[in-house]
Amino acid sequence: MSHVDEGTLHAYLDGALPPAERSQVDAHLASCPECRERLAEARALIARADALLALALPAERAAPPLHELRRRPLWWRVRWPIAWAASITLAVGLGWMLRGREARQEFAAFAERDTVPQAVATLQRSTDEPRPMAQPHAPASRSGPLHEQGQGAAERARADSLIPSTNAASGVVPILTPSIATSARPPAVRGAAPTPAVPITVDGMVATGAARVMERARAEPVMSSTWPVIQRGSASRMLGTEPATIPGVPVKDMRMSPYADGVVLVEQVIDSTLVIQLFQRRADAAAADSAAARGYQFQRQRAAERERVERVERLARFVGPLRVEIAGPLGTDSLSKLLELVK
Amino acid sequence: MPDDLAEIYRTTYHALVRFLYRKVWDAERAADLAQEAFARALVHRPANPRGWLFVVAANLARDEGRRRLRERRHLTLLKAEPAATGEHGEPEEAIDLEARRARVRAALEELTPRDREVLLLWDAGLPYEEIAAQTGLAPGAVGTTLARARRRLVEAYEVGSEETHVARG
Repeated sequence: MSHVDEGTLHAYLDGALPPAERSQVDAHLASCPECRERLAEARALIARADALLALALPAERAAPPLHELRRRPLWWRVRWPIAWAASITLAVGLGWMLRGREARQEFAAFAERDTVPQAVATLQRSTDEPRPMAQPHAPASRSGPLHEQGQGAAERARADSLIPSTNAASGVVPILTPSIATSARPPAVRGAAPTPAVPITVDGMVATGAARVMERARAEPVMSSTWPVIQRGSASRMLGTEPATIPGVPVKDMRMSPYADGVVLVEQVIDSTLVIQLFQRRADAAAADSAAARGYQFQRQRAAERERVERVERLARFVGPLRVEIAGPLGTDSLSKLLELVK
Repeated sequence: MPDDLAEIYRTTYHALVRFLYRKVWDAERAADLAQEAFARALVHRPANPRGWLFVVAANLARDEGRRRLRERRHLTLLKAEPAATGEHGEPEEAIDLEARRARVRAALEELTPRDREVLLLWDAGLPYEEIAAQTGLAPGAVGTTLARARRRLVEAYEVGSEETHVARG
């Protein structure tokens, strides 16, 4: 037998040679000092490469039980740094789904009148994006509920019932209120993670599984690099109170709007790729400063378009004396629950 | 079959995380993607679960890589300010380890995609036959590819070390 080539030596050391070939190599090595030397070199090389790869190991964590993987949507597996209550009641009285340009215009107008405690769910998406799973009744709801927003909870509830979808991929924000508990839901768009028909409480779960990794992938937070970082004290002075935060989630930074409109941005880190943004301002300022509010909305959208931020889900509500808008690349379900936790 | 998958989960989960980690370089994402691969295996029930899992994991990591590209600006922002939550300085040893890990990563990224894939699959515990099946190599070529990948990894690492340290002689 001629000399053993390097690939064969590696396969030999890796225990990957068939028995016949292995004994041939053994026989040759026994009579060939040169190949024995090359074998020693190969052995050292393998050890060195293994040692280098061992430098690049992730911290080992216990694997969750296999059966738990069966039902969880991927985004749930984001390690949630919050001890969730055993049962979380979802936001009651959440508002409307808006989309497209006309929705954004209306949202700006809405911001002016938004002086009573109430919440609104919006979903920003680029107008040119196809609407993969448009719900037949969604267009009706688009212009309807907004004009009705000042006219009382009954109408609001009726409007809500027009938008019972729960799948983020459809572009329709789930609006979870008791009023929809009995209304007909469209068939689940994704069979693998069925949502309960009555999504009022979710035992120990962050949400009911509407979002998937692809939604996370497409949704990106508003780029905040143009917003100056400020200290907590400055944020408090701007807001007249302590900034609202999600308890138990590390605060990455606090920033102020570059548009001189008194908006403070608190960014909290859920994991290395997931940042939740809390935009907040004084509730009274939201009304008094409506022109600035419009400009802020407008400029922020322009910025967002420039940055090619295609989908960021947002919810807003009043927290004490603040109007807080929460945004992040998460399903609306989980954002609404995060918002519930905001103090 | 379910027991089969449970056994593979037990024996292969950490190897799959390791495999993914060297592609996405984020331990949490690697664990997320590994779990996603197993969740899909539970649905699909592939005939050869282990090989299937590594194929799915490689695809997930590739999708993740594309997403990372788009998110790079945001990630840069995050990574640039990791201390906002108040980490107290790391011991020098940890910094050194981090630097070496970064050099290994850089060295791995200098390999050709196929060499790297073969090396990572081998390190994840796949036998030559499965590596050959996954990469389209002839079974007899796996040893040669591995030998080349190992040599290039070590060389690239050492070149990287020389660049960061005082040059030898």
